[in-house]
Amino acid sequence: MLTLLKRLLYVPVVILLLVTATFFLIRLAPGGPFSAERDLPEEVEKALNAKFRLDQPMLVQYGAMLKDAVRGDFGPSMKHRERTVRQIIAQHLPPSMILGALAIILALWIGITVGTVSALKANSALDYFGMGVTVLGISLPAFVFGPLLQLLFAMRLDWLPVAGYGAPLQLVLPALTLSLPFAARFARLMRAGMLEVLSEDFIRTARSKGLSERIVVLRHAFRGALIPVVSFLGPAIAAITTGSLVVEKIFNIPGLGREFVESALNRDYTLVMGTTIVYGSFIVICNMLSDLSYALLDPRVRR
Amino acid sequence: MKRNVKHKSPTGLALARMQKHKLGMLGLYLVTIMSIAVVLIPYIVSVSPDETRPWIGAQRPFYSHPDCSVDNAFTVGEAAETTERASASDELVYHVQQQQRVSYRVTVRRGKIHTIQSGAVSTNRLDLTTPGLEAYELMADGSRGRALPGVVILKGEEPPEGLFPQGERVLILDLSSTADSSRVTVGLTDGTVLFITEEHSGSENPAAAIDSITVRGEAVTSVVGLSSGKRRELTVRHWFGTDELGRDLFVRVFYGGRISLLVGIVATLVSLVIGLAYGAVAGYAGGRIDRVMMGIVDILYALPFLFLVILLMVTFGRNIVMLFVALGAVQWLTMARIVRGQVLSLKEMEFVEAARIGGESVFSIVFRQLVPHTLGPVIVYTTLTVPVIIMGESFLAFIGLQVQYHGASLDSWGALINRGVQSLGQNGENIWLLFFPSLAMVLTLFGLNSLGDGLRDCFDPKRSSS
Repeated sequence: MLTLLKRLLYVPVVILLLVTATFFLIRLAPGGPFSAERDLPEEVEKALNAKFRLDQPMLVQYGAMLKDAVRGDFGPSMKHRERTVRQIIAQHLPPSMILGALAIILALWIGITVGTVSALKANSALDYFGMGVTVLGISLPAFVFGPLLQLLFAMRLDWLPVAGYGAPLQLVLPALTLSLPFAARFARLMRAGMLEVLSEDFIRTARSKGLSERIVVLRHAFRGALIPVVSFLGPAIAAITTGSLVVEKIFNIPGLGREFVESALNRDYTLVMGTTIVYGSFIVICNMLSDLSYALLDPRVRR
Repeated sequence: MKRNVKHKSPTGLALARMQKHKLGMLGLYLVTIMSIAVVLIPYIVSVSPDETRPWIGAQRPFYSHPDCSVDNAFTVGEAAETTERASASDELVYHVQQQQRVSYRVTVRRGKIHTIQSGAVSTNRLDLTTPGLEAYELMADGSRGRALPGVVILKGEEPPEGLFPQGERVLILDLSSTADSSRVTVGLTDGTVLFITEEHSGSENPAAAIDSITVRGEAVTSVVGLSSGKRRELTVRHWFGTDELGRDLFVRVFYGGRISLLVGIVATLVSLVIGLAYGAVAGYAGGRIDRVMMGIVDILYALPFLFLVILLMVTFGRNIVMLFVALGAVQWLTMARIVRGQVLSLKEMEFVEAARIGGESVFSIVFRQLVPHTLGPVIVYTTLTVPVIIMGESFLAFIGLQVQYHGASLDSWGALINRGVQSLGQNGENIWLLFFPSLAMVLTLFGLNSLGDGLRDCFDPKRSSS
C-alpha cells in the first residue's frame, strides 16, 4: 500500500515535468506571439512584451508562470488579448468533455456487448466476424472513419447534421467516430476476459447447480470478465482526450483540443500553458489511476 | 547413433504455429504486398508524384488525357523537355488547339454603349463576327448562358439588336476563340531534338521548320508518338484519378506509403533500441537501480506524449529526423517494461549463471545471452508498434503538421487523407481523393495489426487473442 501511495506522489512531479517541457519548448519555437501581427508599432510591441513579461529573463518568466499557475491564473491570452485564458478554457472545455464522456459510454456499451457475444459463441463464424471487425476498428483512424460517416449519414442520407456544435444530434457522429477504436479494444478485452472466467471452476460449479446459462454469464462470470476492461479505462480516457483533437477538427466542434493546436501554431504562450496544464493534468491523472488499478486488481503487480 | 527426432526452437515452433493462423497470415501477405509495392513504385511507374497538370483538375479514377507536361519545350539540338514517355519516341506529333477565353463587360447608358471592358482594360470596338469565335452570355454563377449573335459592338453607338436582354444595362460576355489550331511535329533521337515543324490548319503555307517551340499543356488535344515505325496515341491513364492540381493519385498514394512506412519502421527501430537497452539494463541490474529506472519509466508513462510531439514539431519545424525521435521516444516505454520483465525472470536461470562463471562480461551476458531470449515478446510488440506510429504520424499530418524535407512537404497517407477531406466537396463529389489513400492506409494497418495479433497468439499459445 505504501508503494501505491508513493505512486500518487508522482502526479505533481509528472505535471511539473510537462509544464516545464511545454514552457521551454514553445519559447524555443521560431517566432513570437506578436510576430505574426503586421503593422504593430514598436512602442505597442514593447508594451505588450512588458505586459507579458517577455522582456525578462526566461527563468524569471518561468518562476512567475509557475506561481500564477498554482493559483490557477494563466493571465490573458496573447492572441485574443481581451479574454483571459481561463475564460477561453471555460468556454471550450465543456464541448470536449461532453464529447469525450459520450464516446467512452458508447465505447463501453458496444465493446462489452460485442465482446460478450463473441466469447459466448467462441470460434464460430460470428466470433471471427466480430474479431475481424475489431481489428478493422483499431486500424481505422478517426480521420478516415469520421469523414466516411459524414459522407454516408449526413451528405448522402441526410439523416444527421454534417458538423457543428449545439444540437444533441450534432454529437452523434463525432461521438461514434471517437469511440470506434476504443469500442474495438474493449470488445477484445471483454472477449478474452470472459473466455478466461468461463473456464474457471466456480463457473463449472454454477453450471452444475443447474443455473441457466443466462444467470451464469450475467451473475457469475460478468464481473470477473470486466476486470481487463476496467483496467483499460484509464488509458482509454486519456487517449480519447487526445483523439478528440482530430475529431474536433473534422466535425468543427469548438473544443479545447483545437484551441491547443491553434495556440501552439500561433505561439500564444499563455494559452498553450493553460490548455496543456488542464489537458495534461487530466491525462496524467488518468494514466496514474490506470496504473494503480492494475496494481489493485492484479495482486502480482503489487510487489 | 542417428536420431531422427527433429528439435525445434521455441521460435521455430511459434513460426510453425503462425503458418496455421489464418488472420495472421492474411496480415503478413497484406504487409508484404504493400511493402513491395511501395518500394518498387519508382521503378514501375515513371510518373512523378509532384507532376502537376492544373488544367485537368480533380478527375475521376481511370481518367485519361494526352501525355504532356505543363510546358513541353523543344529546341533543336537540345534535350526535349516533356514527359519521359513522349521523349522516348522517334517522332512526336502534338495537336494543339489554342483556346482563348476572355470575358468582357459591356454597359449601356442612355441607350448608348458606355464601356467595353475586360478587367482593367477598356476598348472601343468588339467584333463578334471573327471566324472561330464563340460568344456567350456569362451568368452570375460562372456558367454560360445563351449564345450571342455575330455583331460588332462599338463604343458610343446604340447596342446592336438582340444583344442585350430587354431592360438590362449590363452584359458580361464570355468569348472563346479557337483562334489557332496547329500541328507540331518534333523529330527526336535519344531524347534530343533533331527538327521541329509547325503547320497551321487553315493556312495555305506548308509546314514550316522552326528552331524552338513551347507547347502549352492545356492546349494539347492529342499526342501521337512514332517509335520504331509504330504509331501510337500517347495518353496517360490515372487509375486512381487526379487531385485538384492534376497530380496522379495512384502514384501519390504509393509514394505516400513510402513516407508512412519509413516513419513507421525507423521510429519503431528507435523505440526498439532504446527500450531494449534500457529494459535489459534495469532488469539485469535489479535492486535500487531497477527501481529508479522503472520509476522514471512510470513517470514518463503518465506524460501526454502526443502533446509534446505536437510541440516538438512546432518548435523544430517538422523535421523528419525529429519526427522519428519524437514518435520513437513515445513508444520505447512499453518496450522497456516488457524487456525488463523478461530479463528479470531469465537472469536467475542456469545458462546465465554458467555464462557468469565462464567469465563473460556483464555487457556480453545482457546483450548476448539475455536479450536474444526476449525475442518472442519483442517481435510481437515491435510489429504492433509500427501501426501505432504510422497512425501517430498520420494524426500529426492530419492536423497540418506533416513532415517537410528541405522545405518541401512530404505527403504521407495522413497528409493525403487530410487533402482528401478538404476537397471532398458538398456532396462528396471528389470522394476518390479520400478513398484511395484511406484504403491503402487501412489495409496496411489492418495487416500489421493482424500480423502482430497472430504472432502474439503463436508465441504465447496459452493466451488467446485479446
